Amino acid sequence: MGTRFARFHPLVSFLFYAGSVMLLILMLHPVFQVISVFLIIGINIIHDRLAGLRKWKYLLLVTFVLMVVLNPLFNERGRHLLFMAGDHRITLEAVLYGGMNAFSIIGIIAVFISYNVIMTPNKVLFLFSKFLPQFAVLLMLTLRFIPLMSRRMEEISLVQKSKGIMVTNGNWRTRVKTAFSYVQALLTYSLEEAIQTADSMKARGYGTGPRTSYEFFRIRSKDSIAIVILTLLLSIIIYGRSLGYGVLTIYPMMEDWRLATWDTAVLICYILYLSFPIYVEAGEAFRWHLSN
Amino acid sequence: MRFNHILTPAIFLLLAAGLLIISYWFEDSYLWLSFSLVFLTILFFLVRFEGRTIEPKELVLLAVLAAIAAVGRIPFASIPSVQPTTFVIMIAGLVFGAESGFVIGAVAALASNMIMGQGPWTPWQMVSWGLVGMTAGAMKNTPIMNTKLGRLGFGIVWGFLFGWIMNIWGFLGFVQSGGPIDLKAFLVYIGASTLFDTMHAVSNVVFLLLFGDIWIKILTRFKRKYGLLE
Amino acid sequence: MALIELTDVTFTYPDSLQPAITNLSLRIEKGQFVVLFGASGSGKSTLLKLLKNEIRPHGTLTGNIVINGSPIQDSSGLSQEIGFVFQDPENQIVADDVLHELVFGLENIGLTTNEMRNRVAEMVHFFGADDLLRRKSHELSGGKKQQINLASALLMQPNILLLDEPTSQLDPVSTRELLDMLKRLNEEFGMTIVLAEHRLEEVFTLADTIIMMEKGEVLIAGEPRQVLPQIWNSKNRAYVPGIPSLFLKMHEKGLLPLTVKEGRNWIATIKPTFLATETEKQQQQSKNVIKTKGLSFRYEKSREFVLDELDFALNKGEFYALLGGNGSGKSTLIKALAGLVKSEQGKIWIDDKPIKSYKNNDFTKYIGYLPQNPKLFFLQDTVERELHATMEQFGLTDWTETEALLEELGIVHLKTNHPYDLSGGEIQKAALACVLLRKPKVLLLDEPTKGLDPISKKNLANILLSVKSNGVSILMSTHDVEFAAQHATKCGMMFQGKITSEDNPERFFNGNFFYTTMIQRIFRGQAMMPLTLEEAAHSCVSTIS
Repeated sequence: MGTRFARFHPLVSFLFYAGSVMLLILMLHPVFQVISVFLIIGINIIHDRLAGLRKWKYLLLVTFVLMVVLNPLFNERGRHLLFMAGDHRITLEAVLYGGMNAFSIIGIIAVFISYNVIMTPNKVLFLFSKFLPQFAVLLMLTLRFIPLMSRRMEEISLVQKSKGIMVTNGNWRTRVKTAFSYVQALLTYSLEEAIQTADSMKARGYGTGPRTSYEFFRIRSKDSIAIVILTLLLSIIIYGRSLGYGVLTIYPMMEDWRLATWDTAVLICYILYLSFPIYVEAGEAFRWHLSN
Repeated sequence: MRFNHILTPAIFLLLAAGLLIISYWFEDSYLWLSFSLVFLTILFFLVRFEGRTIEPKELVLLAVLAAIAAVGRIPFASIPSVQPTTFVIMIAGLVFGAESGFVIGAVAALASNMIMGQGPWTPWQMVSWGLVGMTAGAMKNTPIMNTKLGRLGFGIVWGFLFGWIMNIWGFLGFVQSGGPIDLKAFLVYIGASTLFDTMHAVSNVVFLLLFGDIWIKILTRFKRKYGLLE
Repeated sequence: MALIELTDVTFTYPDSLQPAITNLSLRIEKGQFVVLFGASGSGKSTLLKLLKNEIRPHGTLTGNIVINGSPIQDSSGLSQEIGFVFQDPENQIVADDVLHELVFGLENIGLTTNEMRNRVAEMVHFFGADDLLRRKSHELSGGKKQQINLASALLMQPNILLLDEPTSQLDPVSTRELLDMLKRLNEEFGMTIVLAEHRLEEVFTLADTIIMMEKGEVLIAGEPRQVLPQIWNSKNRAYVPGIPSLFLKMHEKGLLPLTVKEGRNWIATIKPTFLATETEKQQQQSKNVIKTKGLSFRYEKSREFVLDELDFALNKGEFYALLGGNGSGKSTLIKALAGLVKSEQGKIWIDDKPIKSYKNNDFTKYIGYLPQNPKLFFLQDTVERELHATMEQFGLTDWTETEALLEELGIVHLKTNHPYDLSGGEIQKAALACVLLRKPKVLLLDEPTKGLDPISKKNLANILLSVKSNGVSILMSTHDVEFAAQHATKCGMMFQGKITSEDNPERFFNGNFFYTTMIQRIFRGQAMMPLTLEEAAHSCVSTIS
């Protein structure tokens, strides 16, 4: 992962993602949302050339269509009638409303796709070890065991196959039974073996005293600056939002969708916040360009 | 980081109350409120977990169970709602108690999503599965969890409850901002997920019926072997 | 004053009547390299664990254990002084990636990041493991995993290193690497090392003292050269490796040769003459039970072929040993022949019929497969239930026959046990019993000698030879050159997914320079090059004695 954003302290990345999700939930305004979707796609392009988004495209598409279509079907409220479907009123409000929610949800999912690229298990563990050290050890063990278990599971099914016991044999009932007997063998085997894991932890002094954690990441000045910038922007936006800017009220009366001056100011902060990973990368490219 | 047993719940109650006030301020954003409440629930249990000194053996055991619950999701990934995860967490909670039950459920959800991909559903799954384990553990001395029929009932209830909790965020996302929460719409929404929830409940019942007793026996044996009898 | 001193130590596990350690007294001096050996269950592991306070098993302990002058019971700061490496490379690992694993112990003792970084840097330098740091732990080979485990223990900067059969799951090359590392630690850093180990030939030259344990007691202890003749003259002869065995068998006097170098020097001084041996039996060409043509396989499309257009035949009544390095495809070939992985190209005939024409149960009746890890074989919670399940599956009803089989394998007394409570040799026999119940015509074994002590290995050989005499053809993969040379009727070398050479053991090993037995290595350049101890003792007569 060569992106500059990925090299920030995990706290910065985490703050960015948490804030983004919060903003996507809070800032329900078509203008804000359309812009946010473009920005998030941009972030995904930089981070993994859309590989993640492509994997999830059906989920995103289905969610989007469902939300846009379903809302007007359930919701007849609104003054701007678009058309009648039978005796069902399809209103502009309902469509807009569904669309805004759809944008909000797919925006969040898209943010998480980028999150999955940037927030590697290592970083998540690091954050947990700062705040919840014992839970972090548990999470570390679990993450260690998962690939081990899936490999053991493969081995078990292979060995059982050699005995003529296969999941593809017999009727539905026997199949479930066979599949689960594998899981059961995995359970007994793994619990048996894991006693040694506990011994190995104790042999290396686990639980003897206060535990420190290896600083895989250090907060450097650029991390502090990033935290200050992001927090500042976030505070301004949320303050603005609490005053009623950056949101399109639909019920009981639909507002004008155009932005007032203060809305625009909030929008600028919003763009600055969400495009943080983008201009960080652009700055890097620019510096690279200068130094070469 | 030792938290007083009274202080911790008090702090969290205060935080929850604070949240309600904030949500009054942003009167329309239920999604935001629900996310915060979910986070608070998770944090509450994790902080409690942190306050207890846990033997390496117990830690390893929790990790094995969480890993098995998580790995169990993978072969069943193609069948919606059918997975042994709920079953594993339930039995684990039943044998090892409410707190361990919650932690196993939460870690299983978090860790498996670290591999399968995190999404806005992660905290909800953590809470849902955590609560499966917690309630199973909390009721372990009641007749419900000590009879086969009671456990089957528990499995059915959680099959639906799990779906409903997971629906909340979807639903709130659906109706958020200004729209009044319409009970009819919520019922329709829940109705749409009934098929999946039924499959979940049925798979719980099947697993419990076929393997419930033996798994309780196995885990109890290991509880003794690991020296974890309270 | 000795560094480790045990006086009259007796230890009994909670649910057991017999003590695991009985009245044991022992002194280990600073800087010594001590090797513990003896059958599984002789108390080696228990003894080692008693020396490390944190992992001392539950049970009643009497007697005194004093380490570095302080009784172990009230040792508070000892944890860092003693490092421990366990048998299984996999189970000791707690973290998903190598760097986390290495610093785990350091975090536990509360070091600062800078101290940790320094120690890790030093260790990485010592191990030459720079490129491993960022790797996922589950991607590493068993040998590398065990090196990481050793490194994790060493990072705590111990003075004493305890190792519980650390090489039993490793291939010969990784074993060598790990033992070389131990040698360096002992010689260059004066670290006191106590190692439990089966493969004595590997550790002789390292050990100052070897200690043989039996039923929780020290049977024999002393310097290797002094102790070996005593072992040779006891019922535990199987523990004495090839070269000293030959020497002792021929009743030679003088310095006992341990290494190939010493062995060659000894042979040079005695100038052996060779008796004429009977001419080689003509191998009659018998029918194939398994044949493959152009077999190719890879685990993923993007990876290299593990089996590469491989031609292979197993003849009826043969005992075929498949040798070759790690990753040469031995295990995969066996899995392909057992119908467990589907080849990408090529054909397999079982008893002259294509593998595809078999129905599941017919196939498993014809071919029995014993996995490398027999623990994964069992789905039931006792050996008896597993046997019953197998009988049910294959429509067998005659329990007396099953009982007779258990008798033959010597595991009747274990049938009500949980499979996981059995020792390595025992669980293998139990799994073998389940396989043999189906009366297979072909037996496929994946590294059956791995981790077995010499006595269990001998037992296994006897069982396999008796199975073979009943007309079963056997194919096994192994790293154990000595085992193959002694018992196989044919050996094949696998390299890069192909069988590069195959022949009967005499000719097969004669053609090899590195890949051959200890005995043959000491006779290289002589008129005859016997392969095994028996052949050597039979055909060569010392001119001096």
